[in-house]
Amino acid sequence: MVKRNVLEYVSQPAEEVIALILIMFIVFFAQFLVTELVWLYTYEKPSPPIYPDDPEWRVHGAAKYFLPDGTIHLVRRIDTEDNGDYTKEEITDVNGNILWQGIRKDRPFKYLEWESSPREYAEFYGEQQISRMLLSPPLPCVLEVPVRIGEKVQEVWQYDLEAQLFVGYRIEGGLMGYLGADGFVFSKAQAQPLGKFKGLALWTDKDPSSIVMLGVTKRRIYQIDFRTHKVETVFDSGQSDIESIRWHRWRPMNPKDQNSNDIQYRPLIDCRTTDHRHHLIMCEPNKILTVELPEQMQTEQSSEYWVSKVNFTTTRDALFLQYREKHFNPPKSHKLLEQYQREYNSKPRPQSLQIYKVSNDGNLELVNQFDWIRPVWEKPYPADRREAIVRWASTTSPPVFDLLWYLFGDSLYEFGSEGVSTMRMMQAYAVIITECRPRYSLLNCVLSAAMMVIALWHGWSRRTSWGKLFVWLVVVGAFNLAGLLGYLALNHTAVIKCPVCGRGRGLERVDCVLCGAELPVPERRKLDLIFDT
Amino acid sequence: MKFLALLKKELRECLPWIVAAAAFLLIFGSLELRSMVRRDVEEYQYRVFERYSEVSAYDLGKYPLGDVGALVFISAVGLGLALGVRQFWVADFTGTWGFTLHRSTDRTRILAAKICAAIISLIAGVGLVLCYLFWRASLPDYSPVPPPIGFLIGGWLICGVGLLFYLGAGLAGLSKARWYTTKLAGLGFAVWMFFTFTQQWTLWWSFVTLVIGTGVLLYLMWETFLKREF
Repeated sequence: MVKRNVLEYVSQPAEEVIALILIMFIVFFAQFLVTELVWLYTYEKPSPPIYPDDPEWRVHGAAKYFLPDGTIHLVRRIDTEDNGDYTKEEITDVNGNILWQGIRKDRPFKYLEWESSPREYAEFYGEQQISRMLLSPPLPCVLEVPVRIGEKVQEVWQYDLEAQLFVGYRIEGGLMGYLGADGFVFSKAQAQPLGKFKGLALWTDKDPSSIVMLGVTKRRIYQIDFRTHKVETVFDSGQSDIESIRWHRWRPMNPKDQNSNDIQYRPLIDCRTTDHRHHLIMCEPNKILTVELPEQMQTEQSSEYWVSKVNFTTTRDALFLQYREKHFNPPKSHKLLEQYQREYNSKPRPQSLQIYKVSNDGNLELVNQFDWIRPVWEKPYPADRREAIVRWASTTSPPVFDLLWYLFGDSLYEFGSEGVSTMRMMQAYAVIITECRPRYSLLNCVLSAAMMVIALWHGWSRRTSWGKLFVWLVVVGAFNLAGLLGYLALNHTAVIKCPVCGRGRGLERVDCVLCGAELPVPERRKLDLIFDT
Repeated sequence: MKFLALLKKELRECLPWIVAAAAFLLIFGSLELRSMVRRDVEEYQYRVFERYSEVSAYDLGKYPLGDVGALVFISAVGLGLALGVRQFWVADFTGTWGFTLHRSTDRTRILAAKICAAIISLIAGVGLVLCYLFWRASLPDYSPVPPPIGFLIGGWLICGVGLLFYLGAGLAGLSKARWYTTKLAGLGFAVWMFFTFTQQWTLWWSFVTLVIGTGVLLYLMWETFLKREF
């Protein structure tokens, strides 16, 4: 009996908590709907950003490219829109002297190309995409690589998620073998797992029937040729984990697309590890060079515009490093990032672009440098308008989210953007808190107070105990609109007029909450069988 | 003895739904497998790549058993909802709770018999048929590449989703709240848990989500059933 009573006290709050959470989701969905509808109906096609025609903007807005000897050219688009290879351009030197004008495909200069994140080409599948594709429960997709020999597909290699290796089958039926870290073996017992893939890319070379895969795990990079059953360990990072990779010309190019006048590059993978080192894996000839950059160049790998960037490229003659310094040093706290960005954009800021040659022992030799001033920049992007709408829509969000953001904002943001985590369920809630938190704290608090007043007015005559009313007022205050709707859903009961004091009273308790009078006893009628003895 | 009698009675009432779900999954699942016979082999032959081009991993991704996964989901959720409505909503509409409860046994046993019947129904109507379809798809005449065992485990987890929706529907049926307040909160919770289930990166965490969801619903249903005035 005691156990039963204890469980009763748990079940009622559990029902209320579930109802409150569901109503909160409905409120967030309504906020999202309102945001999207307002944005849609007030949408105006943004005009392309046109920079003022003054010397500072002309320099800052121009793209900066290097010739192989280190000379810097500024390339400015003359057309208002980018028309691909037919865009009109103007090329100047660093002193502003015009060197050439014409359409892009006729450029007389061959500039250095730099490594880039494979993700930019949408051909490299990062950890999240792989997990979504291969792991997404409950019915995962399987990766199967067909191998054509002659005119027909003869083999299929299926990725075994649990064993972390490829299993080969003949198309007529029958098991062929396994591709693991040590290459091709006939039995599963001999196969070494490749490891969990953080990223992979697939391509064909001159033989279209042969698919090659580059797979990145926690500490290794593999290249697997399914036609020849070869597994090559391109790189092993040893004790430190691989943080990210960037590449340039690693995937073979069609010889028809190559011009003899073009700069001859060597295939390059730039593997950055968690100890801030860059391991440059080059081919033709094969070489791995580890470069440890000075501290100011150890930037985070991010595509955000404010982050200083480091890029490598290697030609037949030399290995180059390009460093773009933006002098953007935000505070560690992500909560202060937005404010720092506004301050950063509100004043002119020095910028610098440097090119270095990297020697065989990893030392840097400055070849050329270009410094300029970035003018004050007001960003008229559509994203700002959406953010403005979200600011107003989020005034009905729970104030408790604002408190959590104030106390744990950085941790929530980092956890929510961690990538693949086993705590995916909690990650989603961290993202909800950071995205749905109120932006106008004062207005949000005023609204919450108004909701509390409404709840108090509603609950005054219906209260069964002061404690319960107080708890509900706190809940309404903490969760704003969702709290009020939850309170009304769970506590809206009938109210009658008390026959003694004449004021409204609820029926959840025997006595009137205001005057203490009990409910009147109904009159006994002739056929009533229950009576006092 | 009493429990077995109650269980047999519940199973008798669930039988048409079990047969309907099993027949649906068996017929359409078999048709889907039949259409898949050697289909992937032909698809591979037609799949030609260009020289020096990137290959999309999504193009190489394949769902083993084709649309059988979707059929399992429809069967499990449909069966769960049907049983929940049959056991907990119909008695309310017809006013026959008295016939169910006025027996020489306690409510706990009655509820346990209902839930056990639902679990057995999901196993028989969906789980076993899934096992058969998986075995069929593993035979070489269907595809040279057998489906991974993860698919079978995932399919059984979807049967668990059916149980989740059954409990949600049952809790909604037992609730005496108004429909525009919290009557459907049980079903809403089941939907929330289902979305959380599909968002997990691993089968293990999906299983944990399912256990948490069914545990909460089971507990609330038990409490509501025991204390409600019928």
